[in-house]
Amino acid sequence: MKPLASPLLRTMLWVVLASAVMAILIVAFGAHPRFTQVLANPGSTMEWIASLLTGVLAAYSVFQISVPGRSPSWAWLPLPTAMLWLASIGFGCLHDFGQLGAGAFAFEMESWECAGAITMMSLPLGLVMLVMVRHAGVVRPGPTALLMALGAAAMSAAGVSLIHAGENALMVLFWHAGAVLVLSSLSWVIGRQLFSWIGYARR
Amino acid sequence: MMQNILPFARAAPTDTASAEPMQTSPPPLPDATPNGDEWAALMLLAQAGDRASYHALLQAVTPYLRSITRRYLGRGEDAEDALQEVLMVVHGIRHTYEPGRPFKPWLSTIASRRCIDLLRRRSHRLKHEIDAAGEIDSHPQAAHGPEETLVRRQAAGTLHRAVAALPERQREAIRLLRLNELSLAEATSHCDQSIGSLKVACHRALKSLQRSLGNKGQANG
Repeated sequence: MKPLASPLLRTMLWVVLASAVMAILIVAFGAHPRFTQVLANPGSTMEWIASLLTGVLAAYSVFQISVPGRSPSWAWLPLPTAMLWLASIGFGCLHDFGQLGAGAFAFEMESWECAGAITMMSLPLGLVMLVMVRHAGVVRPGPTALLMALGAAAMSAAGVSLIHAGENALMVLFWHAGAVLVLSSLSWVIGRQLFSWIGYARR
Repeated sequence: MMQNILPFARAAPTDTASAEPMQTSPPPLPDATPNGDEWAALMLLAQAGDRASYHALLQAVTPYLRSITRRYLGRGEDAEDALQEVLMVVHGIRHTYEPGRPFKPWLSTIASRRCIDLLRRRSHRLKHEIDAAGEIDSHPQAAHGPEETLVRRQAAGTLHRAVAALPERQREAIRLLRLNELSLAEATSHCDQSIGSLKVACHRALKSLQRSLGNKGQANG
């Protein structure tokens, strides 16, 4: 029986898979033409990188806390980048308000597609991670499930930004960050059931 | 397969008084630090497929794991059931021990988390049983007179306490097979016991109930 690979190695493996999914998305839907313009704005660049880093660090913390005997404090690892992500979206809201006035807070219902796309992309990434840490039910099913969803959804939010851009920052906050929050919370609630289905957690 | 792999024997539970979970501060765990490196070495050999080393490892860690399960669950059968479960889990996820890392934290985390899960499940079940008993008490059957209602209520209370005092797996077997009247096949899908385990647990539970209720009857009579 081969021992588990190190958390770093497994994170890299997962990131490669996530990158492949992103590449498939870009090939299928095409990169958004304004994405390069978006990245020219330092605030938006920071927002995108923070989202990406939140995904990677959440994945790393999953591969740490899911192993018996490793410190549960690793669960806090993605917190700074998640806060940075939210702060940069908040800064984007203020920036939009400065440029557009009250129009910056217009609600765009059609942007729900972003939340749908994030959810759809999160599913394969989350499922792969679930299989990779199916033993986690023995240790910390709830926090592991929460971080799994956070990793998959934050990475997906970064991926969806590649093919879909242009909405105001408030809609990014509502649909992107909202989808990540909902998916993470839901996974935390059903974490024990999820791992008891695939592994050893008790119901 | 597990029977071939797990080489330990169940320790006989001690007397009824000491079978209660400890309410005071738990005793310190025995210090097995000198064995930690040795256990890690055995685990590495076991991961490489050496069955004799695996056998030796499980024998070596069993007393340490038993001290953990007793610390959480007292000295009754629950602690022994938990020990069996912990060993099964250790077997199932032995690949998660990473070479070079300390062995004891890996092992004790598995054991502690399993015991906490068992305690959580036990408290949920007791809460449901108490709620169910409360519902029964609040609906006396109108057809019976007050005396018969009182006798029935007392009998139900006695039975309820006797069932609650059973070890966890026996209580589960009685609840599924006798109270919920499920078939063996149905019951196995509602718990993590095999058909054989359920049969044995149910048989033992009935014996225990017979003994405890019989004693009470004699005492009352």
